Amino acid sequence: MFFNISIATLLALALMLLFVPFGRKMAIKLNLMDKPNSTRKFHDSEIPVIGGISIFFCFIIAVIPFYSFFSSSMDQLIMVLSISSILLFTGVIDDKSNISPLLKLFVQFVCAILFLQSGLFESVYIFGASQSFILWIQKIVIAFLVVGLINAFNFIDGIDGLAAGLFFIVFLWLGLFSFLSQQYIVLFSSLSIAGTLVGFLYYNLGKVNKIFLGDGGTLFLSSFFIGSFFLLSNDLTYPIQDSFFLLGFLSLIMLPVLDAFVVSKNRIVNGSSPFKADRTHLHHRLLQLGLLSRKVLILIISSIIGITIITLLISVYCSFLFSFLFMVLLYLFLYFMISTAEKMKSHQRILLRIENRITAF
Amino acid sequence: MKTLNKRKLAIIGTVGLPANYGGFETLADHLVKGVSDTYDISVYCSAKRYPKSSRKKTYNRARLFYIPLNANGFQSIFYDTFSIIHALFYADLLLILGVSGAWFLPFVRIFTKKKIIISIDGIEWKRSKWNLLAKWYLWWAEKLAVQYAHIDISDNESIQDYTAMRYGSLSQVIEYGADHTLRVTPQNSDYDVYPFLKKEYAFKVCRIEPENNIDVILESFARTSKMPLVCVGNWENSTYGIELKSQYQHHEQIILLDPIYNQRELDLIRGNASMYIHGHSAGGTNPSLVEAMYLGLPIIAYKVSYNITTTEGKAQYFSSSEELMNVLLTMTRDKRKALGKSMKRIADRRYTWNVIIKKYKFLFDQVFLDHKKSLFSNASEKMEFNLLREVHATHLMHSRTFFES
Repeated sequence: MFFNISIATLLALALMLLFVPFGRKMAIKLNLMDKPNSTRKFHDSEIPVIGGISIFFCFIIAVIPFYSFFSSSMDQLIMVLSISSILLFTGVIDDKSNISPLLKLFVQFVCAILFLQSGLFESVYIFGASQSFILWIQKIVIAFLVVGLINAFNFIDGIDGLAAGLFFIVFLWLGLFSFLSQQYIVLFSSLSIAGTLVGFLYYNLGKVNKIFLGDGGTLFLSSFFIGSFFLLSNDLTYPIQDSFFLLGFLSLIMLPVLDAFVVSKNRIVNGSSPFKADRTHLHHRLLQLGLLSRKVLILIISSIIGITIITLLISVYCSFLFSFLFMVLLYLFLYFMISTAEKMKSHQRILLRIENRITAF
Repeated sequence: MKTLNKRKLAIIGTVGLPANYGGFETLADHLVKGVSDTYDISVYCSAKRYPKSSRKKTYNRARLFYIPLNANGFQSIFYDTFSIIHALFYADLLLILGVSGAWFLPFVRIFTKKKIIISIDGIEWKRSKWNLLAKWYLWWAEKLAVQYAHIDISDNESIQDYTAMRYGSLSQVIEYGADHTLRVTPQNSDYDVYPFLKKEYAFKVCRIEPENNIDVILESFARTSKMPLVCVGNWENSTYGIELKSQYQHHEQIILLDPIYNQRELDLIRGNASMYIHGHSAGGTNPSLVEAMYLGLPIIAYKVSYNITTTEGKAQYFSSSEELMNVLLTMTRDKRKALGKSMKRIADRRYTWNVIIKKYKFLFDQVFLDHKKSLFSNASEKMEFNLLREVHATHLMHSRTFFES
């Protein structure tokens, strides 16, 4: 069993490493490129946006040989994959020729509903109610949350390795818990995706043959994650609201969520659409402080890992609610630190101007 | 006859008295001597620097309290905090030197009616010697200090500009006195130890840090060789210092000396120099600069607004090695004499303890009168645009352009 899973993971990784150079050439021919046409973007050459497609194909090809081992739960995986592929498709079209944000939102919402209606969700009651009306309300609310989460992950795809790195950790977390609850289909799919992500990062973080994840990639990965999450929650033998798993998951996604929240709010307050492209995300702010993009990547990822570990340690001794609130506080403290650093930088600029003022006496 | 009860003043944040260590301590010393007729003074000292055997209970009518912590470095946060808390029980006015304990000031303002005067001592958080965490704390502490003290003092007008820009409030500027320095005539024994005293030489004393531009100065003197340079500092304390020492110590025109703590010895070498080179680029008015001015030395200073305000624009300045060499080569004996005299005039007017203590006394009396210290906000910002346009004064609309001349 685990042997098969390891082989699948390594196969996924190998397929990515082999496929991407080829996929790049295809993308160049089909003009599926990210052009550095705005002041917001940092790269100065055109980069193929085939992360999502590569991951999708390599994942499927890596999984097929093992179809027979998981045939009982395979149809559920196929269900998740199909719904995610709708979003992959939408994202790739958006990468090539921009689609209206409203249309994207609509498709995301539809997919969220599809997830919830697909039969994966039935046995998970967040508030323990079984009346159909309350269940419907729950589903609508959760659909909105899902859409929010998908967009939050989309927003953090701003520097090399950030989105993919976070997805990597998140899928590992999912894999860990599927291992603990002996839900092997999710372990299998999570680790295989993690394998493709390693292959992706090899090219994304490198200087040769660079590729981007693109909208397609982030949409696919976040929806696939959410689908797998539902799949796993279905089978967990303990209620998810008080679990270690949920807390870790929340801690891992809190930064993209907070960032999306803060940035959207600021954009709305300024009168623009929350999807307007600008440089106010957290990673942009860190870059503007003068840090290199590799340092920003390390800083963000290690902060997320660090805060998650601290939160999980605290949850051993304290209640879920307290740990959750403490975790949010830690992230807010991170924001506070960054805005303090920004203020210090602007004070420093003022000081420099004052020090160099040679006024006449 | 009615005797007025004297107000009680607590001086917090210095290493302690008798003064052995630095600018703040010398200030505390003169405050105690100059103000104790109108105030009952208590001074907080670091028990770590005053061994139990030689500890005094009073000094010039001021009470001394000892706290078992270091007054500088990380422990200063706790040192200042405990001093403040202790002082709250009896003092009417707290004079706090340095911002380490500033985090506690909001509580003092909210829960007590004690008056706080704080001296923010240059822009500490910018200094390269601090790590990132220390910089964060100091920046935040400075903000609290300016916002929660009744009066904040800086030692330079440029810092006053800075606090005005950033906090919209008016700092008071009080510099340092220099008349504690001695005019020392060299004895024969001195010539034996320091043979360079017989001739002309330039002098510099400072901490060996890149901010003080020592490499620029040493390079310029090595290349012009017009006059030897005697430079006193803690060379062994950093790689910067060690490297410079090894590079220049064998140069015949450059004499590098280790730190001198004896006031007489320092003033002996300093007072008899023919020029004083001041390379500081950071943090306000420097006590060693005003002391050199008081000693009547011609000053060549680094071209930064702090030094220019201290010397009132009348010294010679440099911002690079080339400029310094230029100044050195064109400096004649007559120029030096005139420069020294002009510096002395400024120092006699501004940098005597008499003047400084008078300023402090004035602030002490002012603080009990409850003045608001916010700057009068640029009124034209609130005026109607049309009215401004009529009088051709629309450029006053934005204080940003007004400040940034």
